[in-house]
Amino acid sequence: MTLDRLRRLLADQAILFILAGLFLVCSLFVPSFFTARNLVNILKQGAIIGILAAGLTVAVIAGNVDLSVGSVVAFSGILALLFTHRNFADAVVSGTSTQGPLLLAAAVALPLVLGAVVGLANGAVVTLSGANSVIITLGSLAAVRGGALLFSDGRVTYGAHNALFDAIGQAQLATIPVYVFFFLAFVLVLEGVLRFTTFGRSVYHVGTNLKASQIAGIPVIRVRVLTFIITGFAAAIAGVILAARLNSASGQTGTGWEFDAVTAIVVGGTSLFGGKGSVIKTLLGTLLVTLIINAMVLLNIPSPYQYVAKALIIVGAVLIDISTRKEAI
Amino acid sequence: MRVLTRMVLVLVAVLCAASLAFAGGGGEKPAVKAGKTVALMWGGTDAPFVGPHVKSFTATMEKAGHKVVIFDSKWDPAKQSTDLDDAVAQKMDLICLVPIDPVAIIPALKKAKAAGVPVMTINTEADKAANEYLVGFSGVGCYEQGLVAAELLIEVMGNKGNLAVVEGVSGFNACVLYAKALDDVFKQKKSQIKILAVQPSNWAPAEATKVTEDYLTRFKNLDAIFAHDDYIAGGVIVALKEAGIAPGKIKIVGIGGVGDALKAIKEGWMYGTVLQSPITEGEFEAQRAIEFLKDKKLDPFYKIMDNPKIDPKNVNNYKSEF
Amino acid sequence: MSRSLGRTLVRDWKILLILLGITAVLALLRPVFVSSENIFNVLFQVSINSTIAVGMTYLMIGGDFDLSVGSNMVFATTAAILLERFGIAPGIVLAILASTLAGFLNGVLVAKVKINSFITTLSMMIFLRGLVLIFTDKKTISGSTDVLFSFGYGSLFSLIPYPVLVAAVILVVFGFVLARSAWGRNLYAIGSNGKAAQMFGINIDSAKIASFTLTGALCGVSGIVLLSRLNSASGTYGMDTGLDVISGVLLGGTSLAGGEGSIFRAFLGVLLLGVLSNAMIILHVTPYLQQVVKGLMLITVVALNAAQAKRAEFR
Repeated sequence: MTLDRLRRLLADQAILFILAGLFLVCSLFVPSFFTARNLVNILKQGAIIGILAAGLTVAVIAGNVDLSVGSVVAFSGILALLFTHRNFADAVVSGTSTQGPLLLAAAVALPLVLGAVVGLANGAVVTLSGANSVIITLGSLAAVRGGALLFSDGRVTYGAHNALFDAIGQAQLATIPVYVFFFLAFVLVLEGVLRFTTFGRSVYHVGTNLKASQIAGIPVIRVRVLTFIITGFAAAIAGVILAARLNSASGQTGTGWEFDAVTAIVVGGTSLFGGKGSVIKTLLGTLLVTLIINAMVLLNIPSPYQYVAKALIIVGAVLIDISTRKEAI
Repeated sequence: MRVLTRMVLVLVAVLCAASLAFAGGGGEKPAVKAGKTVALMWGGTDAPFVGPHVKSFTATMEKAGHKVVIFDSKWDPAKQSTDLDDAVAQKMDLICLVPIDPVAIIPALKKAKAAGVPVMTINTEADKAANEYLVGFSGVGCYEQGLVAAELLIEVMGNKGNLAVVEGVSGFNACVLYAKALDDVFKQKKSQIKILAVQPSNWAPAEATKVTEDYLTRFKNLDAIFAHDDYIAGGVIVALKEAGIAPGKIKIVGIGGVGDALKAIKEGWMYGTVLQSPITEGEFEAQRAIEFLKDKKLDPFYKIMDNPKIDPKNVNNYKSEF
Repeated sequence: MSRSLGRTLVRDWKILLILLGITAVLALLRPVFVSSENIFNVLFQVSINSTIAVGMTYLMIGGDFDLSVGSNMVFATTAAILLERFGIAPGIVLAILASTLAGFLNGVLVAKVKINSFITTLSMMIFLRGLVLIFTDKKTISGSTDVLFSFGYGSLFSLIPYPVLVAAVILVVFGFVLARSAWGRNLYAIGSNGKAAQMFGINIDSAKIASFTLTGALCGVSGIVLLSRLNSASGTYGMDTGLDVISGVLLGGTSLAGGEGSIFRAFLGVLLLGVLSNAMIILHVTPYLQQVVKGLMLITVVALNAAQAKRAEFR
């Protein structure tokens, strides 16, 4: 392999090498890092927000961003837990009512519908008005969270401890939660869609050059709206899993998750300008950020320094990206 | 010239607003009615504890014929300061305020007193220096709660062992008082309990789960975990369950008396908690407010609720209410 | 010609009309809304945001924005308290300098290193908040003296609060600078068409760095105003400021795409947000619904503005 090709490989897969390198360093020098329990923890700590970030990546590649995802996590969690009860009044006090399959199906389906609807609304407003998605989705962040608080009257919503529903968040395979496997599968499915379907290719085109895509006959509006729906859908899935794991959700759930998801996406190497990137890169970005925070905790570094670290990681990742590509992001 | 016009217009707009203020300044006071208007100013209304409290407080006040206006300062002390100004400008008959920051609210309290609007702090105390501007405090003795929690910990740990704390928000007055209470009691009882770590959770169960996971990785011989409220304790339990730890192997003490916590005590996951029912608290503070509206003063100035201890022995006496 | 003038007037004055509408309705329903106390409350609440909005407007016209303003403001407040040992005045000056430096850093990262505004200022926001948490040891710290209260709570002729005065002066001065200086003209050019601006020989980097630096300085000033009212600082202050200011400036009609906007419009937008919040409080709207209303209003106004601009493009 020539030096040039090696350099290119390094540049393209920078995040992978950094992740591997850091993993090695932490395994050697951070106490308790390289234990089965901790490694599973890292997967657990990254998986749910990883699902969120994966879905958001699709919208980002198309050139938009959706900051309302954290609020969707809250609302969908509340909705899911509500429908695990036969008597809705039990949802605000920890009850033990059990549920039959019909309403249980609603507990999973309705939140997903909610996520899709919010995505549809975001997508429609952004594409039809031409407004910047940052601001529109900031508005929907406030509106959806306010809606979640109104809907739940500001209280915590508890689940009915239904075994079937709980399994979504609590089932394990060899001490690894099933939702971690779901996360990996979800990433692969999305990546497959992006790489091998016409829709996926359209997403990249639209993100690269909207006008040209329009001229080329791509149904630009439909594609962009669909990316928002995927994002909302992913956020709802994350909300349902979180609710199943914790058996509680409130209007406060998921606060700040939108910025964590964007961090994972950027660190993974996907450009916020759209047109390039991949869901697998976001997976790696998620793992990298989770790993670094985990290492800091194990090293007993006080929590405020985690903020500083996150900021430096983001800037560092972008700098590496720039220097290996030599073009403005 | 357009720029100059615009600039002048800005200045004129500001001056117009000011003169409008004086034109409407006197304002017509509505005819004196029996029912008063009371402001209920929470630091933030998205925390799970607040919803039931607001409901209970409002219901009690409305039964007595009064009106309640709710404020939400989004946990920002600067906003709470200006919110208090707003409430004062509306000439509330009484303001019931949960101070986000015990010190930052004092200047605004001073203004309120100067404007003749009475303020009672509820739930959490402000700094002692604030007392001269207040008509009273009604709420929860955070320090006293901490004392009960400390007793529970000593009981279940046999006065020795390794303890990890999952706190609410660093620097939040209640959390500071809990820490102090633990410290004082452990010293007094010559305890050999070692506090290995204190990490914040932002009052979010998901964050508490993560903190606990990391505690389990770091500490091989953890005997107990103290969670600053039962919602956080719920998050702690999730982490223990997922790690395959049997109930009771690591003792958990929380604060609140939330239904899930009562269940956890019965199942052996938690050892105990301190009852702080938002429903009861709302009623309690509303009664004090009604008392003030009637008598124009509060006697005693400082009144806190009981902090009953809930442990496996008496847990069946309590119901899930919130 | 007159039709487009009319349309321009309506579009520019749309916010003013909404403002007057809300004021009129509320003056009728709840007279306390137009009481002197309430009006000055609103003006004060708006003064911090409007000061920062000045800088944000410069940035948006040039095609950027700054998410770190809230953290930067609290950073200044924290620095001022910690540096009080060198004297109140030196502490204040150093604090404002620190914020200015942060703004300058933003500018360099965006203009020279070419990292986009979103990521740069998001990182700076997280970074500064981390610094504040570290310096305050995660607690709330208080100033050692409250001499500043005479500024924060004092007023000129017992009428106009000093903070409002400072905000008004900043608005007017920098409004002029934006409209009359080469810097301002360059920003409009850069925002409209970056490539063309470059070909004209405009120094894009300096203009952008200057805008970020100005914003940083204004955050510092706001941080001191905050100090003069609260005399304390903590890592939890100012979380919403960035979004509130950006919302306000956008509500006023400035576009994120760049190339247009004005201080006047920014002030109107910020004022509208403040008036709306105040109105909802006075109307006793439940806090949850307030959040929904603000979110929906932001979406509606921004979408309408964007749609209008799009239509205008094809004219």
